[in-house]
Amino acid sequence: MPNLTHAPALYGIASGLFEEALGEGVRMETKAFTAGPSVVEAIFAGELDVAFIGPNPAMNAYVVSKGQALRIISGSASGGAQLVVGSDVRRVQDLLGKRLATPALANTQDIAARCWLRDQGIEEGKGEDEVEVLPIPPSEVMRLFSRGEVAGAWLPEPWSSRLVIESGGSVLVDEASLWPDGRFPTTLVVASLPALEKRRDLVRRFLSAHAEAIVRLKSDPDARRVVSRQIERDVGFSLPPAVIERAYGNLDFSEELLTDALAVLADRAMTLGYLRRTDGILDALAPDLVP
Amino acid sequence: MDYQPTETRNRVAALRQGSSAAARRASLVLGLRRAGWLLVLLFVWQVLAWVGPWPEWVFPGPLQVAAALAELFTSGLLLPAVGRSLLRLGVGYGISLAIGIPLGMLLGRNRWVEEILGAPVLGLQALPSITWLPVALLWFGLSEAAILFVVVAGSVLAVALSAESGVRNIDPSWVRAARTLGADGWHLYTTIFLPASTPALLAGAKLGWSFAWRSLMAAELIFISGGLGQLLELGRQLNDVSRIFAVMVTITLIGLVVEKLVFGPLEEAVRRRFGTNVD
Repeated sequence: MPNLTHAPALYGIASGLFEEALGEGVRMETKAFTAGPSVVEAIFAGELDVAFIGPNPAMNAYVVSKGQALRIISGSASGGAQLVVGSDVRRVQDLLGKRLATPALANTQDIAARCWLRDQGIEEGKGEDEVEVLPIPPSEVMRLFSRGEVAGAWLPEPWSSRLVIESGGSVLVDEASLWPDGRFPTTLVVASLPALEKRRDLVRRFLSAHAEAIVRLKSDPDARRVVSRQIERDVGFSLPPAVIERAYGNLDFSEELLTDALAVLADRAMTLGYLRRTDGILDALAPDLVP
Repeated sequence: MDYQPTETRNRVAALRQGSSAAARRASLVLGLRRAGWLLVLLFVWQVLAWVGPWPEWVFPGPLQVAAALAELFTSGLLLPAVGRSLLRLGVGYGISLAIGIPLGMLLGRNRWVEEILGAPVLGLQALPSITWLPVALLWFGLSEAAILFVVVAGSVLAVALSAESGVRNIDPSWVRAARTLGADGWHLYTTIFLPASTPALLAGAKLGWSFAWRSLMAAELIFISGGLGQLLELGRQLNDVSRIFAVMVTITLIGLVVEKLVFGPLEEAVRRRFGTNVD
């Protein structure tokens, strides 16, 4: 199931907005990936021109390829990640000796969860005064959470809302509360270097369509319905309206590149050994393309 | 009376000494040659990485891999992962030996056990152990027990089948001789079957060890909970090929160390005991 943090991408594709903007004679191919690292693999293999991806995989791809694979060209979504816990957890200390799920090893929420634990002075591990962090695909987390096998999960929307509304979880930490103004990047737009060199104009046109998609998502209720229908087509079932409403309420769509927050995310990844270096990381940004 | 003149005795002693010195020299030369070839292979790999059509983040050379290994070590990720994996391996493998050897001996000597369990053991041995993981996770939940179960399931039958063929291939005249001398039942196992099948047991133990490693890595890659498997997965998640290679090198080195320190000397001892260490 696609994350709702990718709503601008889903809307742009489903409404035909992207294809229209690219113009006649340009054929757009779309491909869905389950996680950022596979997107990066495809970019390394030269198969993608632009992609929607979380900030940590994007910055990591920039560092690993020594700046030769991609650039971050726009923001897309911010917010929309929460630590949802079961009824037996009322405060942080109740997590000790239990397990916490994240969507994938070293993804943006995984890093957020591990750093948050550190900030609370809690070590990772299986001990009684430790918390074990387990990367598990969100669809499985729902099942494990209901059976009490994980005490909580740090997930992006719509998963955090699903855990709250469908599985009766409650929010222990809203990640927004940990950031200035509650804003932190969740989804970015990246472009491969070859695309920026050879098809810069197309990338530019794509970005204006993306900006339009964001405007419509924020103002036009129909746009959200288009996204919901697209999700339904992709996965074969529809999310409860309450989940969708709650999820959108936690998300903000914007092209703004939250530079300071990106630098913080890079530092955190580096502390955990998930990023090789942070110096020059902001050179990964190529915001001059944003119209 | 001494029939051997002093001169001859000295010459024999000198020859012996000389031959051991020569053997030492030969093994030193062999070691140096091996190291040399290893360097040549590493050099070829590095040259391939340099001149090959792939960017270095897709196909890193040994220098990058060494750097990644050093980084894993200094960042404090490597040693805890090695410790965790080795602990799981040690416990799982120990259980496999404890179950596999008696099971194999029974299979080899007891007609009923063979008739009942022979076919299932042979069939299950061909089952890739990782197929047990979904079951193990449902049975044991997200726990160490689930991983241990997969490790044991992956290696116990290899150990058992080696033990079985070991006791089956024992010279029947030894068994008859022992029986004639009054050995019976349990005594027969401890005095004949166990010692006589040692070479096969050792071969099975080695096989079981490598099967246990494979099962453990497969399990740790899917159920991500510390260990070297998690480091491998981390390398993939970070699109960091040199880090993946670094973990693979670590696993290879552990294998070499265990081979040199444990299985090598054990095999040497068995060869000496059974008189098969002829050059």
